[in-house]
Amino acid sequence: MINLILTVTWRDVVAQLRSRSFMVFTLLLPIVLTLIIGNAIGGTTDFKPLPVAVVGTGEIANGLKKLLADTKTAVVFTLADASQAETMVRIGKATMSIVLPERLEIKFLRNDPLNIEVYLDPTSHQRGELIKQLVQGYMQQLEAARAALLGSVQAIAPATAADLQNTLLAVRTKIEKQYQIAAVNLEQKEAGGRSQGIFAYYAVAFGVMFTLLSATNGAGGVIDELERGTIHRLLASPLTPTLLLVSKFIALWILGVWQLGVFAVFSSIIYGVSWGSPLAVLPVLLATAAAAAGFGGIILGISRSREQLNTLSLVFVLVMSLLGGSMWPLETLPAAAQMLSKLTYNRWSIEAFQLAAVSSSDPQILIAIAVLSAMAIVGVCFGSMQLARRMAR
Amino acid sequence: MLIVEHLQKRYGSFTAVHDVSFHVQAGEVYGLLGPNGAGKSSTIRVLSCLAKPDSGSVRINGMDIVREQGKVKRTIGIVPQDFALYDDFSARENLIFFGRLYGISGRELKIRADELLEAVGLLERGNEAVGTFSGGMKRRINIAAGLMHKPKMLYLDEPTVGIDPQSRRNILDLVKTLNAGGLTVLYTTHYMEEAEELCHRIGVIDQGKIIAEGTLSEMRSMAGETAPIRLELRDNLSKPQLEQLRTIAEEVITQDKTITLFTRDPKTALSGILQMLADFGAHVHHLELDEPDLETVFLKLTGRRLRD
Repeated sequence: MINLILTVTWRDVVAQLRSRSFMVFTLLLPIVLTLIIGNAIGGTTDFKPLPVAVVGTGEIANGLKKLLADTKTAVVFTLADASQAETMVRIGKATMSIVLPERLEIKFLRNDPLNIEVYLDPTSHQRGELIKQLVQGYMQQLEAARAALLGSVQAIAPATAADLQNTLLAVRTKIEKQYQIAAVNLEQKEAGGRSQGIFAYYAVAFGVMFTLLSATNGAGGVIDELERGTIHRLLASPLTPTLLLVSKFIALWILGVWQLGVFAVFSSIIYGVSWGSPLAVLPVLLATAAAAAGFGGIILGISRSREQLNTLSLVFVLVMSLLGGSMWPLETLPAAAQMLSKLTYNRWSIEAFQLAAVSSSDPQILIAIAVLSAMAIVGVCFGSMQLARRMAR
Repeated sequence: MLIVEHLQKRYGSFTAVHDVSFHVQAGEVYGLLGPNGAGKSSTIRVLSCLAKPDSGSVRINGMDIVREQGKVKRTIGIVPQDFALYDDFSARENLIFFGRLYGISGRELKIRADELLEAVGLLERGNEAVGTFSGGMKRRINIAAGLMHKPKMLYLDEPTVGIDPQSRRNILDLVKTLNAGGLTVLYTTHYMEEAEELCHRIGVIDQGKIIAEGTLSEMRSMAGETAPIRLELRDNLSKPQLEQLRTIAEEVITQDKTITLFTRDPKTALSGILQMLADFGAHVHHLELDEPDLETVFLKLTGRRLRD
């Protein structure tokens, strides 16, 4: 009995591993996509400074330029003409242009309304937003300084002109000493798991998504066999329908394990992603591959033809990936979507991999593995029932 | 060897096999002849243990195909109508894979695969992917795959459909050789020439029922002493015109614009028939004079041609 299962499983696994399209689809594509998306979102381990144009002169403008340069978030250059600010962003020479008002210091001290114009390239995503936050933080810092300064000035009650001059001198000295612009030190440290960067996140997220796609492709192979007649030939041999189905699902599972395993090794080498302790990762990997095989079973069970299977699998995988965190981090989704994500394979798998990367003893990992295993069993049972019904026709 | 009694198989409300009974003796080639959709493949599906009969019984070498399925499966070899092979595997790998399913392993498996590759004339191309083969080559590997476990009985389900004449010849010769070696064969086809050439006995199946059975000579005698003249006309003939034709022929069968007339002496009767048709103003597009054969039997029994 075991020999029969192994014979059929071996054929399916060998056939897929020989297939060039399978290799491209399961390995090359996730690696390339991780690289592209990771870079587009800015997930390298170091921040690359963005070009930022600043229109404005004087102490406050210089302070802002120094701040941005010191945080290494921006390469700052000065524009003389405010009318060029928007153009620089539009033509891509600057990711952001900041236009400070003229005579800023005087307006600031007088508490006149300040209007700072910021032009931001919308494709800069988080890194552009970060610089914007720095500018806002800087202005708030100045506001605090102004309040302190006003308080100091109001506290001055000079008796003579000489006293006034001495007091002003003392205040100036104090301001120069104490109210220097201090750059925020943005130092990124590798902490593993969820906090180790966007590459780590997308390596896991895409790994899971492509494992699901591969499983549906494998399930499509069963429909191909039904149409080609090889399934019937197999069933005319001593193989029973149950043994045949078990063999097919074991093959899907092995291929899922292989795909995720190889992808984990590649992403570790290429992007330096730390997947965590092998002892913690392996059960998650096995459960994810089993869940993917189960998903293949469900898609197989509801599809009547290869064309239908291709369409359904694409729709299901995309929707689950959108909801389950394979397209963007789960935390960024609305609360309702986060609730719905619990129905997806992606969510449980990504979460389990992320937790396994940080700690091997988190009980949440066991819960995720249990959920994935349950999904696998449900999928395999459903697929088997439907396939058995179809073979009997 | 094979005893089929009152076999019935339904798919929903459709009865694909209706009370079919026939016996196949050991060492015999039994032909199941019928047009497409007659119930041949449905019968083979049941005999191959792929579908359970709704009623009736099938015994192979004394074993019941429902109760002793495991033993029956090892006794029979299946050559399905489809190319039930893996295109991404070589011919040899396909044979080895199907052989393993029957528990053959090691050296024996490789030797058997090579023997069969040689038998079907594809030893030289054994390592090439089946996907690169022509239809005829695939058909031959399809047969070899059904023989890997040395079955006592082989089911061949329309093994020559869609292939070139040379490959067809190869397959017919191969079946003869296998039979000469003692293999019992159940051969389904809708080509009467194949049935005539290969089969010791023939069962004619139509609409799920066996409508005639016997040796080739027995079947020919069913056609009687008349031979058919087949005419394809431009227009349908009227009833009175057909009645007039019946005065010349023993029997007249019409099917749309095709008329088949059975006469004892077709060559003599032909001139009279053509004269009568000319008088009717009928235009003859095509004319065939046939010897009595299985086609004639089928036509006489069903009023339809085998390939319709």
